[in-house]
Amino acid sequence: MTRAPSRLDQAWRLYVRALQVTVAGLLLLVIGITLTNVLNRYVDLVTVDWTDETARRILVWMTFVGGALAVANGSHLRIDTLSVDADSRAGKVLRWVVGGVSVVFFLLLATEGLRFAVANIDRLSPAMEISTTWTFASGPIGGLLFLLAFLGRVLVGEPDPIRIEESGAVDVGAVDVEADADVVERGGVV
Amino acid sequence: MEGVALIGVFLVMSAIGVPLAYAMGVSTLAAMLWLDIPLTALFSRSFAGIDSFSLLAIPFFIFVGELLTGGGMSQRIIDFANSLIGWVKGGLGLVNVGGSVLFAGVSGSSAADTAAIGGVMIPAMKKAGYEPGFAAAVTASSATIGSLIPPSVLLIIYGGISGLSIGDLFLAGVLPGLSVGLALGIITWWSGRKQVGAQVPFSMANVWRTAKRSILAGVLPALLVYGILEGLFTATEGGVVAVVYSLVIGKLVYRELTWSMVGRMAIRTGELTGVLLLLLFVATSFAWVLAFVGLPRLVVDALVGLSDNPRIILLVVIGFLLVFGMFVETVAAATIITPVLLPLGPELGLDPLHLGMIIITALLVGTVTPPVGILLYICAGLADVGTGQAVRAVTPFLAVLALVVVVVAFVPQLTVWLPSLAL
Repeated sequence: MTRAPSRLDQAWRLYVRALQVTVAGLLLLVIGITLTNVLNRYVDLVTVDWTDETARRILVWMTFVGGALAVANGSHLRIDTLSVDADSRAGKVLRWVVGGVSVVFFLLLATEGLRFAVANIDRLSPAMEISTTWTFASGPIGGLLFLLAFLGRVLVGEPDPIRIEESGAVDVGAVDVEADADVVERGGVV
Repeated sequence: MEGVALIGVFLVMSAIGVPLAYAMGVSTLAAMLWLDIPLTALFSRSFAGIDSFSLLAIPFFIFVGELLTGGGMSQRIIDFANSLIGWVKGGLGLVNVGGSVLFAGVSGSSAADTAAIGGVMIPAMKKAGYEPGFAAAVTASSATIGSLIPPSVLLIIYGGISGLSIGDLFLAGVLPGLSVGLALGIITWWSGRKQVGAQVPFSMANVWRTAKRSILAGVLPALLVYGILEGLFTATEGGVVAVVYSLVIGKLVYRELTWSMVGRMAIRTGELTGVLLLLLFVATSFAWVLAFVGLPRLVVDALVGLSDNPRIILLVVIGFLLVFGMFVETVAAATIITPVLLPLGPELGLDPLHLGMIIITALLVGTVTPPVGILLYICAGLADVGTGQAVRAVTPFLAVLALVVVVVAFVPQLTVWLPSLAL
């Protein structure tokens, strides 16, 4: 019998979903803006003095929203050189140390980032002449998003994986094989 | 002294499993507090490190890789390579390398290359009678080409750290990437022909049929190189052109992409962008603190003091990079080592693009060596062999990769000739 999802489970699922939708939306938005910029060189569509700056600002926000999603999925790059049994005493101590350093990083990002964002509230961006705090606020908000994602992962567990379905069986010469979509998930980044 | 302590704290935290970005961020903050540097300077540098139009190419080319892999491009590329060279003895290994070269022209990463080509080719090679370790070794070593031939996410990141033009870096990567492909092709054919005979007969009709099916894949790299060379668009704008192109091909021409797949690919792209740019965010300050305490100058002075012969110094640097790349993940290694080694270029009379390509090709060898050879581990998993067997099988390929690094280092024309043609 499967356990009915608790409120915490539901909140965690909703949080991860919100991060996913936001980061995908930001990506599509930045693609649209940059495409407008390219097209505008050949066909006069709109005035483009804002596109470069807006695209850069979206990229900065994508860093922190996408980064929070990576915290939730545990996919930030790490080196696993020490092979310590996770259930051993040493393994448990290491997990606490790693968790502690992670929380320190998130809190520093949130608190010092907030100080920096507030200090720049009167500084205006060159093209759009709006406060640079709109960009720099991504740091402290990112720190909080990371912390929530970390707590969710610790308290509830790993979110459901995103699976990208493949087009089925593929063929090489006379050999039929199944493509392994999972590899994309395990494949690192570069 | 402070620089060594900073690197030491970072390495200890990384070794116990703290994600690299957090380890770099916390050690940088600790160093700044120790050195009494205001923390606002850190945020100012870090935001400047990612607030860049050029870096938009990172999500664009990751997305392109996702769209093309899911959109049926990899199978068509492999079919074409198979029709061209599948008739040779041991040809399936060559198809693997050829497929990697072709796929490198459309994807931005070695990991995507491994997934797209390895997922198909490793089981096929095993079934055809190749040793599983050999299949894993060929796939992993040839996947490194994905980060050299443009588009390449690693080269974009390198551009972000070094301040070099991403368009120039893309052009600089073409010939070293093809050199790796050629060298690996030779050793793969030499070793593979003893294992398995020809798999498919050669037929011009088959070549023509598969060429027609895969021609749209071939257009993309040509379009990118031509567009950048002719100044039609920047590398970043080329990225958005490639996104639209691969979306149209996968959705309207091949009809293998669904909107739900595109949505999931966009989420994954956003997540990977977060991983890479967060690392770049903290690495910018990390590098700045290293420069502040004078570590790059110290290292360069020590290297220059080793010998009067620049070639010997270069060989020492390559040796160091090969070892460093074994222990530190490629993106992290590039972000740490680039600012330290950049001042070495003028001392040795190296073009910055040339120095960059030496660093990148050398670090990429580390993706197929233990203990952090991620590409080798993925391929070993796909081939269902132990890491030890995969490591033994990959050893001759490592020697070839290291040889190509030396060739890239001592034949600068391989790197600088193509960018010199750009308008």
